[in-house]
Amino acid sequence: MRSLRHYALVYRQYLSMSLANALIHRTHFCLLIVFEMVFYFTSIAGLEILFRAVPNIGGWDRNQALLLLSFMLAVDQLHMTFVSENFWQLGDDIRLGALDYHLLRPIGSLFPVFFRSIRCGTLAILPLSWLILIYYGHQAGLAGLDWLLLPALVLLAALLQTVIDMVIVTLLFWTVGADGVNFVRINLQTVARWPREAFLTGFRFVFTFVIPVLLIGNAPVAFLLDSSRWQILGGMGLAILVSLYSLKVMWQAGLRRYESASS
Amino acid sequence: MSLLTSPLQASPWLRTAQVSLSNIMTYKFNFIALVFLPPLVFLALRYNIWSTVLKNGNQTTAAGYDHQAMMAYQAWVFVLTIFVQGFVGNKIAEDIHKGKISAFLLYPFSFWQFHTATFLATLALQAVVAVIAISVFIGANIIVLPASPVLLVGLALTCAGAWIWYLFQYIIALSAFWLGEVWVVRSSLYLMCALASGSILPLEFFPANIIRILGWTPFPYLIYVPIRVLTGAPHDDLVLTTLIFVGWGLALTVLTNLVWRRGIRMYTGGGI
Repeated sequence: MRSLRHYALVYRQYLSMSLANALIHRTHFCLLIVFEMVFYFTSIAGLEILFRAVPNIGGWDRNQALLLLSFMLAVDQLHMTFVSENFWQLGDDIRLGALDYHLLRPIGSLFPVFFRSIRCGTLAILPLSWLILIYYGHQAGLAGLDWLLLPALVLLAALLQTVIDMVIVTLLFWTVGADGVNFVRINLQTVARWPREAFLTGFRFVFTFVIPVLLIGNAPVAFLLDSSRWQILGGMGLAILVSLYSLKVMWQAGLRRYESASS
Repeated sequence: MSLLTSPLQASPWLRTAQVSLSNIMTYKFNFIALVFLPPLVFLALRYNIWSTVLKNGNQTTAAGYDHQAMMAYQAWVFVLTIFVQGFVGNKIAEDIHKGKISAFLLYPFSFWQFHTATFLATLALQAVVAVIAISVFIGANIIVLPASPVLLVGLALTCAGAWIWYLFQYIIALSAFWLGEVWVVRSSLYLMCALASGSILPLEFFPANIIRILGWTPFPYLIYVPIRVLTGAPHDDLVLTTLIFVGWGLALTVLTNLVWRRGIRMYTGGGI
């Protein structure tokens, strides 16, 4: 309990620093909001245009596919706000040896590395992402209990996406250049926005069991659309546990490989 | 200095290109992950989706495309994305942020020349990857190369598209004179371009009004129009296409000069 309080106090400082940073760079703060809106617009418009010519994709009709997309946009919004920035910084930290400072702190090394920067500009768009999710939720016919479960499921999905991304960026210990690994991560997020049934067997297997990105949004939304499919949520829970274990193994292997830049 | 090496050493363009290639190849995985993997993931994604819809689903065509035509279109999107949109101008913005352009203001080789040489070197590398991809697609009977005159027109349009893309990247990078971070603007361009260029969906899927509006923007000329030409689809407005291309090229060149002049006026550099 004391440890949790300690982490909460440290996180409050991170939040305060990030907010101060956002208020200094006000143009960037506003541009982030514009970027998020462009992202939402292009994602939704792409799918809406596709469904003008296609009645369903792997059994998912327009309303169901757009519910999945808006669910993933809500997950991405949390991910972009609270962790994404840190993934880009890790590459420089490793290359320039700045990781030393985080490893020496009296706190778990993963915490400052992955949670110290928060994008406050993206936080401002939170209401929009939820409005879109509620709108498409209504169109897909979500009922009473579904709405109660929705926030918890979004958080669960954000957790799985974050852990998978953390595992992927530990590759930076081996590749050095940061942009490439982060682009791989972003592209896998794109895969996660599509219905699992849209993929052929081999791809579906890889993206469900090897890199489980197809469970991030698909499992909660499939459960919301048909509560008899609760097993898929169990699969998602298992994927979170396995990903957390993989993160532990990869992080430790990465730290063993890390050579501080200082002498 | 031998006769064979002197022209190479004398030309700052070639030397810069050589150094840029060497820099790129130092981080090979980074290059592959930046230039090759994103289009590959998108190709895999589209292959899955269109196979599910047009092969395993209830319909055989969508907006006039059957499975084979859609696969050919997506294969060309893959090739053109690698060639046209492979260049990322983050180094340009970094040079401005870190005050490195002070040196270029004194060198006999300008900032623009240096980065254009880097772009041309990257383009050469992307061309190699694109040719390998085309060979694989031809071998797999996914695409067929058109007859020589059409191929030449297609290649010219593709190179012009790469040039327009470079100008976009350069202007966005120059916004580093005013902005602390330019990735937001660059990413917004990527997103708009992916939708409006026909990368995500062929423009036949779009409503007619939108297609008309997009026709006056440079985006379709980066991917959709070259693919129409390269796949031998009828394209009546080649003169208009060329005029729009040239118009955008000139407009972006003028804008590049304007932004540079404005930016350099307020630039304060450190030491050299």
